[in-house]
Amino acid sequence: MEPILQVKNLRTSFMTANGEVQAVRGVDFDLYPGEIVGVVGESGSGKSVMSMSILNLLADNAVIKDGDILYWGNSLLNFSKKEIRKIRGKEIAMVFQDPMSSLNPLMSIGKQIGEMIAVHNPELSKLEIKVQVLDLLKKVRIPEPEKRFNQLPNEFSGGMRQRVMIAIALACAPSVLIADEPTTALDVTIQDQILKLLRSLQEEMQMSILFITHDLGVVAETCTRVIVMYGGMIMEEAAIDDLFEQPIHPYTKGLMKSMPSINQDRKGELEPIPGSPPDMLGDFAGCPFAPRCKEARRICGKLLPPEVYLDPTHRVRCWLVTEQAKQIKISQDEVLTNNAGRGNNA
Amino acid sequence: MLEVKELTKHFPVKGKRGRVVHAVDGINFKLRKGETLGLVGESGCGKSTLARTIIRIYEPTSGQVFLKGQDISGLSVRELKPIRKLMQMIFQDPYSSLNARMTIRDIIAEPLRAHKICHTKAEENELVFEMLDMVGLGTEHALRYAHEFSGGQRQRIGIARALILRPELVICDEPISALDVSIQAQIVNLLKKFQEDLNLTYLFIAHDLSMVRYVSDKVGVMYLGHLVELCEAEEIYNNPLHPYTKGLLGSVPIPSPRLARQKKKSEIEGDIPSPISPPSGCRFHTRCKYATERCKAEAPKWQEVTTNHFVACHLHD
Ligand SMILES: Nc1ncnc2c1ncn2[C@@H]1O[C@H](COP(=O)(O)OP(=O)(O)OP(=O)(O)O)[C@@H](O)[C@H]1O
Ligand SMILES: Nc1ncnc2c1ncn2[C@@H]1O[C@H](COP(=O)(O)OP(=O)(O)OP(=O)(O)O)[C@@H](O)[C@H]1O
Ligand SMILES: [Mg+2]
Ligand SMILES: [Mg+2]
Repeated sequence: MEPILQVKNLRTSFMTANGEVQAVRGVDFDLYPGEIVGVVGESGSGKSVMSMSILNLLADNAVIKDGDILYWGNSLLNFSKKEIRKIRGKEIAMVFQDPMSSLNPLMSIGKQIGEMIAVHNPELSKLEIKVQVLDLLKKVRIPEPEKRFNQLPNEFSGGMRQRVMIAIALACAPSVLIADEPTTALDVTIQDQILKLLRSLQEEMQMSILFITHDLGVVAETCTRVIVMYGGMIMEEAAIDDLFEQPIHPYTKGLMKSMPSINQDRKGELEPIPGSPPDMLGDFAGCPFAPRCKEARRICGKLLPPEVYLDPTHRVRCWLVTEQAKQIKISQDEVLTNNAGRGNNA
Repeated sequence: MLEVKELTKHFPVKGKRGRVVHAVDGINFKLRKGETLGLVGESGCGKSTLARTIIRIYEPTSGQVFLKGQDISGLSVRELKPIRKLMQMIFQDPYSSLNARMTIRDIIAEPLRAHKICHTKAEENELVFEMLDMVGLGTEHALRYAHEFSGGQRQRIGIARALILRPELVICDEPISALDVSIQAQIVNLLKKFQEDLNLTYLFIAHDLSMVRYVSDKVGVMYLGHLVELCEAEEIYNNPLHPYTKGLLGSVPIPSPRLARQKKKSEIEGDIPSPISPPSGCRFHTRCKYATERCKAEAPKWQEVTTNHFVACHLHD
């Protein structure tokens, strides 16, 4: 099968007064038709910048320094602004965390959804558009669509607004949906409803979804494959079951141990990852996670580990699993002590 | 340590005379010294209002709050001052709850100054440095400003400020919600350690049930200003009685794809109704699949169905 979307060695930086913030530092992955790929990682790991790079929605001080983004094999980076606008919404759509800031507070919900349809289908009449909008409102399970059509965003609850955002995103039946923390601002009860909605719409419309979140629980319930990001790089990628049952990277393992689970008993202590995420200004000496890693060896702080494929669908960027590591014969006395090389305490 | 009786807080609605927000309505519970009560519920159900009414940031509309047996709900601001030392609060947002123009040293020393605890600067510094050390921040941070710190570090500063007066009751209002998981665990472990070392009593507010399990001895579930269920922490996970509690538990994502596929989840449909005109009878009846005519007409009583297990639901009358 041919990938629908390919991100190749993407590097995105921001030019700031303090220097170059290297937010994405060489990210590679493919998205295939019909799959839901999760992207997880802590705040600042580059998830949003990576996804904004795909549709070129970056801030003015951003530069894509290297790499390419292919949609059905065609580079999106070579497209003109106009061509990109055509793709946005129609082929690739996005849903963000905060629905209020992406909705116009002064325009009725029905009109806002209708605009999206009109832009991509100028031949449709007003009535035809209204019929489609009502259909979409039903699709995202908004009760009483006729009544809701003329209401303003502030008459909707947070969960209902997110349904509206999903309706706008799905207005032109895109093949790829990029969802950036679409449920992070919602209550768990409402999150559960939205996740179910996304899963059933994905099946119904056969979309591919790139699902960005910092919640491993949400990934476990939603995705078929997972990418774990840290410091602007992919640390591990695996099929969903492999990642949860055999996490390899110390960062992935650390994330899992620091998470509470509703079906564990209280005695299972939480094991936090010490320290805090790295500053994205400037270069890293070695692995970005080394300063917080319990298993770090001397080499980890000096050289960036290469990516290793454990099998065709499971890759890890960690010295502990590389052949090189074995050849270098890292001896136990080289294991860094708990304090040396650690980052700041959070 | 703390007893709350029929505590109620209504807010007037702007521009609509006579209409009120039923933020907190007739809450009852007791909390023993050294215990943690976890309080959960959806956004807007009144958790923060309850916390703020207990420590008298808000005046209660009616009801009573007893601290170590003393009714503090009727006390004047002056009478309250010595009691304030015993109760402190840690807030959700480590960004906005710290003054950006003050140094860390001054932020942590603020409660000492408000209560005129120290007579000399040296005495004050000693207490502040001790606190910094206890929360795992080096004393070298003392003269830096809050904006120079990460979210987790700011929450440590908030904890240092709350604990410097050695309070007995600490109300944590979503202290970890704004933090990354790896940092959440650091803060939760720190709070647990302080509880052991200083024999603190916690009211721990969160909006989901997963982290609450690790910190609480008892768990209370709130819905639209009412407490709907309250019992030992393990009991609520193993034997939830209220349909709302079951739904809340079922909504928490399970970080294991295998278990997530197996579980048959109870879920909650629809949105939380407006607290300005809450539903009649049981406030949850509009979203409850077991609701009957009686639930619409008659509010269920708060009763102890088994020892230490309280619930307000007609299914368990
Ligand atoms: N406009 C900008 N100017 C400068 N730096 C930026 C800008 N936008 C993002 N960054 C930086 O890029 C890095 C990656 O940010 P990004 O928003 O992608 O993180 P994220 O993984 O989406 O985090 P979160 O979970 O908080 O959304 C961060 O260090 C951030 O500070
Ligand atoms: N100062 C106030 N004036 C008027 N209404 C208020 C005030 N504070 C809270 N409310 C209202 O009271 C209700 C309960 O709010 P509260 O902040 O206690 O909820 P919460 O459970 O803490 O929610 P969250 O999880 O979002 O923090 C809400 O409807 C809110 O709008
Ligand atoms: Mg983001
Ligand atoms: Mg609150």
